[in-house]
Amino acid sequence: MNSVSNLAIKGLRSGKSRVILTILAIMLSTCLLTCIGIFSFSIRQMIIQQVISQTGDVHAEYRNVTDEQAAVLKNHVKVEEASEVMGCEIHPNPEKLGSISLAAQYIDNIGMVGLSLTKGHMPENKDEIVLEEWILGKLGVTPEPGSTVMLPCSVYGADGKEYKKEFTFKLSGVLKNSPVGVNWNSSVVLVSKEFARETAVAAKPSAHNVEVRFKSRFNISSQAVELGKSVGIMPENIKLNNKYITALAGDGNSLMPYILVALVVLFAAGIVIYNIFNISVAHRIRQFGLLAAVGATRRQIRRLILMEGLFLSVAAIPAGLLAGYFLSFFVIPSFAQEHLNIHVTPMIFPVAAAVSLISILISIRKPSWMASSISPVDAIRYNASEVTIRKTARKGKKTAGVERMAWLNLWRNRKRTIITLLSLTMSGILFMVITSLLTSMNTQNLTDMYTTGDFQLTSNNLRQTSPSDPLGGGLLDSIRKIDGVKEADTVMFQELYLDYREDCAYLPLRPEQEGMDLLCNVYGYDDAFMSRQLENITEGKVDPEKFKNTNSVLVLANDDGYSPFKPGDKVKLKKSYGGDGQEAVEFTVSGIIRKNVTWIGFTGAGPTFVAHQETFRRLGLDDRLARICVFSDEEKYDAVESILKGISEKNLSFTYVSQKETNEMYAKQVAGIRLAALSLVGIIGLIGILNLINTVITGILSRKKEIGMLQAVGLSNRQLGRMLQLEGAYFSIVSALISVIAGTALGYGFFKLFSQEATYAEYVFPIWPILFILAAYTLIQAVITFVVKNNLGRESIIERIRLNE
Amino acid sequence: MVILETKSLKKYYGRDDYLVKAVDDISISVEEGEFVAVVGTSGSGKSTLLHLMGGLDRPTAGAVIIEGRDIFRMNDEELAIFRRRKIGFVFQAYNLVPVLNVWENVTLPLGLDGMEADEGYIGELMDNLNIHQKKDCLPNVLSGGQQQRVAIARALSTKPSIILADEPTGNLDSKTGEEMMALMRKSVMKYHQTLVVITHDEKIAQVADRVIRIEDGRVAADGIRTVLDGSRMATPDGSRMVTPDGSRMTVSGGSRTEVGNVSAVKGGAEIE
Repeated sequence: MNSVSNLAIKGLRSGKSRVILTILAIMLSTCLLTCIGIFSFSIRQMIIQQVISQTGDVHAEYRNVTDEQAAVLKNHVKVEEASEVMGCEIHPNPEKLGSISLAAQYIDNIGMVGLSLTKGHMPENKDEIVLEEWILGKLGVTPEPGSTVMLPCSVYGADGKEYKKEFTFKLSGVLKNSPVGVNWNSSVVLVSKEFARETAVAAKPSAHNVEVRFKSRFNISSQAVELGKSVGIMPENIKLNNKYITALAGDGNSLMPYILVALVVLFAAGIVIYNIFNISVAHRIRQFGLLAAVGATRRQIRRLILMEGLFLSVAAIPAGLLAGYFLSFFVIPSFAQEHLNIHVTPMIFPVAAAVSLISILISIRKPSWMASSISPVDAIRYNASEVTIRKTARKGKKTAGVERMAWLNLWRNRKRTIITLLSLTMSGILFMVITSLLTSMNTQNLTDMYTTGDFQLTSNNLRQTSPSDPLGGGLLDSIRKIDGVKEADTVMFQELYLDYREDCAYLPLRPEQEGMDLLCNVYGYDDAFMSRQLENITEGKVDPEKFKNTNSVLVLANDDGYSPFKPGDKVKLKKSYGGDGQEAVEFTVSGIIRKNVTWIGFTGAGPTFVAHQETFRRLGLDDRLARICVFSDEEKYDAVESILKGISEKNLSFTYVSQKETNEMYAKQVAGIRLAALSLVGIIGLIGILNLINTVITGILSRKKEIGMLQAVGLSNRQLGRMLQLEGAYFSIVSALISVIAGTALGYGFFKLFSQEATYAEYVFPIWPILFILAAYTLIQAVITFVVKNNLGRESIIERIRLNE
Repeated sequence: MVILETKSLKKYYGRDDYLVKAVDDISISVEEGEFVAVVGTSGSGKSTLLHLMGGLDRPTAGAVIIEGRDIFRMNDEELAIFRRRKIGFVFQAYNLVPVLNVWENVTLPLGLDGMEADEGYIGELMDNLNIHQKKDCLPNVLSGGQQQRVAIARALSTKPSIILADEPTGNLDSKTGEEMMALMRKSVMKYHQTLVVITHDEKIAQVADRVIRIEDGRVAADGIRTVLDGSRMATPDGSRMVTPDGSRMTVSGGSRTEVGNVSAVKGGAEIE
């Protein structure tokens, strides 16, 4: 070990409290960085998983390939995995399966599409087949390889017409049930390539595709296009899985919040480390002067300080990484969305460590320059307690007591005071902003946005795909008859289409969608809903009776409050997409609304309209009930709840929602977010406290001699305690005031921004956070000063006065 | 009248083989208005003795009686208050509070006592010490001599009965040191205060009424000397000796004197 690192170690040994504080600060910031890394990575993985569940995890699909092209693609050096897929033009439709839809295909690599075999092997011979276990159960076939499967299908004849035909297959393997299939009432029938090819007829050539995943995740799109071109596939037959490719590439904007939080953490920790090193250098100025006098070069002195930083980092960073890793598993599940699995990539650790280390090196850069630029002569003259007093005189003939000395002492080292105040106020302001936002998250408003009444039943068949009417057939009447039901209000719903108008596009459109019909949601309200809605009219005058009896609608303005229609305008909406207007209905706009009192769950590209249910009936729109909202007597709530729950459990074609349960769910989510946000503020606050501890300790220790002298001239122990407490109190009062004032103002500003996104937000003046800040700052400061002062009390006055003599 | 008395005062550090007797059984008494110089080599225990006399440190055994009160019977709080009212300290390193200006430093002991300064008295004090024109200055712009004068003014601000000075000229050049001692002496005479100065500077010892020499924690010599106004001199037993012609007297070195025996010199000649 060379003499510089030796000196660095000795330097560290001489200041244990400094070492502990620095290690804690580095540890906490590294721990937070790791947590942020793991959390953001897990979120990204979740998004990728969601995309995979929608689009699969293939990068590209090459369509209509030849066998030769398929072979080249599958064995290409850039390709990680590939699967050949061939459509099979038989359509199994056994009666036993009812509405379950089956698709027959040849797939040579089922792992790539998320399927796996539990038994047997993939179909090789023409008569072999593989099915999912739950389908076999429904067909009444023993799920064992070798079982016979009779499958009635419709097939195409050479003439292109459909015929019925029953096939007899031998089960070669059993597929593991896929949850998606069970939920969506669909499954797959895997057949051999030979069979698939045979079913293809001239009229219906079967698709022959290769799905590919590349080894490199960089520039996937261009890799895919180049590979396709190289094997002679036409560009129109190269289909990229853009959604997945985009998700993999990650989106800079979604990372911004994490980067911002990380920067705040780094800044908070950087301030502490800088402050600690700065003070420690100031205290050891004589030592550095001596080193310079005996021939240490400036570079060596700088290296000495950097070494100290490095030694501390070596101890603290691994501990921080480890703590962050374990903390992630405890904290993240408590607030994250239900399905967030924690994903950890090894990359997080070197990155967090490097970021942490760089921030440490930046923080100690200035102190190291300061240490290296001390001349031996200056060092010998130096007196730690006088270092930054630049003033030469101050008028004043007051007799200085404890209070005045405490106040003046606060400004004895202006820079240190300001840095400490900054780091204390930063966590205070952050706390205020976060709590302002959290308390403004009104879960009741959020619930009201999505539910009306105590219970809400919503049809699962809103889009006219089948004629079933789950909320019809006397259900409404029987609900109204339940003892305890005060009111049951209803909503109708239909999607209609508006001829393209640029100003009517509420959602951003893809280029190919421009010029196409805009989907508009149209709500049909009963009298009760209508009267609620009419309270929210921002433009136009509406007479409820006239509204009901004419073909009138209200138009929902967009997020900016703009409506493409004005009261009195006529709006023509078509019943089918791309329709020629034959089946169109015409409304008169009678008012503009900014808020729709209920939301069924769909969003169209065009404006949303609200009409009366009478108008729905008059115009022959879908007059089935889309939603029933039930209000119950408070005393009979439980009884009504159990009856409605009972009804909805029997019927899967509508969804039951209780406002109370929904509210509880949101409240739980908000509580989770609160825990996470407060943990974050807590750790940043802890870093701020480290700074306060450092300031108080060094503020007292560097004045030991002066304190001894003050005691000699008559400062009693009690007065000493009061002076130190007052110094701390000035710190806490100033920082608490700044935190409260700036925090409340900023909190309100952020609330305004937030409320644009979240209409359920409602500002609550943060009186509790303010009281908490005031109490916490006072208490923390008082405890720190008390402990430090007590340690000081063990020395005699003489020991203090003699210091440095 | 005896104002300060030590009785078998002991201050030991360490134990067994490492026992250091910094002050070993010292019994002396100081008369009101007396100017006593305590001299001795470095490490002889003179500073420890002064600290014990001022109640800055507690003894291993023995007592310090000031104006008839045993100061170590007081608790820390009472002692602090007693100290700021009865004793003024002057240190070698001045020890001014850097954030307070000259006026505030001088009046600090009054401020700590919650009292308002008597502007007339403080002004006069600062005039005497020639620092009045610097009253707004912060200590960092004062010379060593000026800082020490501020420290002296601070020690005198509460009109204490006793001033204890620990090497007050140690950081000053000899000319400034002499001036300082003259100022201090003038002040204490004017306000009839008792002054105990620790020094290893023989020149300073020469202007004191009495010189106590400490060696290895014990009193090696205790002699009366000098009275500038020629009016009086003191002996350890409390009796007064007045030189008829007011000539200076010097105390000889420890080797020629014994504890309790007075060596006075008249006209430069030794008298037993």
